[in-house]
Amino acid sequence: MLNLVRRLRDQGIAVVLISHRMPDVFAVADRIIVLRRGTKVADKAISATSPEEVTGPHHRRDHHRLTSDGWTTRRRRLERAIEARSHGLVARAGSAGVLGARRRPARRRRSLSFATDAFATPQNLFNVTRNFAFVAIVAIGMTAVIISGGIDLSVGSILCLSAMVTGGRAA
Amino acid sequence: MPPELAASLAVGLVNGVLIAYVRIPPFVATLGMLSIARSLAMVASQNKMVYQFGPDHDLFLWLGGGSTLGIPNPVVVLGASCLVAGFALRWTRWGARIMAVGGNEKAAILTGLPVKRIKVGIYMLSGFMAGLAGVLEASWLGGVTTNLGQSMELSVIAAAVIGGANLLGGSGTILGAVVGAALIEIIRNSLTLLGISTFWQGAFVGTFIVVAVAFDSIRRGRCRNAGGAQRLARTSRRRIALESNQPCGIDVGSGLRDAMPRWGSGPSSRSPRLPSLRRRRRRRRLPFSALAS
Repeated sequence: MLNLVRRLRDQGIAVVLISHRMPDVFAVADRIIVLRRGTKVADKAISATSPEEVTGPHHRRDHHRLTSDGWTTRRRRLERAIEARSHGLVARAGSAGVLGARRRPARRRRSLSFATDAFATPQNLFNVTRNFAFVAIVAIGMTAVIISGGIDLSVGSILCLSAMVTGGRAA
Repeated sequence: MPPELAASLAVGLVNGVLIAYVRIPPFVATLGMLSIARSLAMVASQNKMVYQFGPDHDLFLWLGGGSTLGIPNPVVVLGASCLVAGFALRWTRWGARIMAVGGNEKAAILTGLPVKRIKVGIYMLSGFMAGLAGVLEASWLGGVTTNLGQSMELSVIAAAVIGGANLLGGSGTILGAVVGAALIEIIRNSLTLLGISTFWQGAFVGTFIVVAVAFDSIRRGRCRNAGGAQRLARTSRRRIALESNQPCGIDVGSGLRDAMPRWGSGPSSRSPRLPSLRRRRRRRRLPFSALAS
């Protein structure tokens, strides 16, 4: 994978690498942007930083922002990330995702070993119920099929087809 | 009808016709459809990501991503369809017919039920629910790629099985399937919150499925000890009840027990049979005449 990234770079193609594996990042990236809980906490050239520095503020609870800006919305961060491609290779190490912005933000591992009470928060329950709703809706139909002695393996594909027809209708 | 739901109903119709009229085993027919439908989705989209949903873009995004009275919209849809399907399965002629087809298909045919049409209807329902979930998921994600819903059928089947549905047919509940799906998601979420590697999640969920079904079969095993003669008596009683068109304790959940070898023939192991039959008769709410008419 890293060789592929290098080959693309040599062809002059910008690559955005999203990873928390510092050895990979430092092996191929030219520029590194660190996101923590949805905000940018660092933006540096690889030559000006080290894995220790990058992972330090990223994991610390009361972090000191290496750089701060007033941007808050995900849309702007995405634009920023796209702009940054013109500078060459961008490595983004972080937890909350720009591309996965609609997903439940992945929480930090280290603090969570003590933080199981996060489960009962309204936001988490909101997310959990929504996450299983899709599978459960399909499972209602599947239960009827299974009760009748059959099985329906095509539900995943039908779901995809229906979603695509939704998109195709608009276009 | 919106075209996406019509498309999924059509796919369900093809599934049902292949299974009921052409007599292709459900596993094979839907396995074929698994490939066909995904490839159609790729053709429809040219395998590109779709993220524009036309003039009602914002309304569409609200459909899956928004919430009503603090409840996410997909959950509202889930609750509504759970109520409707749960009611229909338990209290309507349609539900009783499905149970009868799954419990003993030959008996259902002999009783004069339109088994083929029932089957087509079931696969159309399954397709419809999948299509509905597809619309909601597209709306929630705000963008669709052709790998949406990949290997989802497995977690759906897992949810239904955890919820008590018997893969041999004849028993299962709607609420159980929903609870099964919820349990899987809760396990996954808790593991994430506990900081356990995502690589381990499959192992936990898989173990959970096996343990849940093991408990179920142990529970069933206790009332499986009827001897052959008694089973025969039960069958003929059922048949008499069928013919005389009276409310009876027809054993719609007999698929597993009929398929399994029987052991234990002492009087002590036989005795639990009859009380459980009586219990089942008491529990039955729908007169059998509703089934056949």
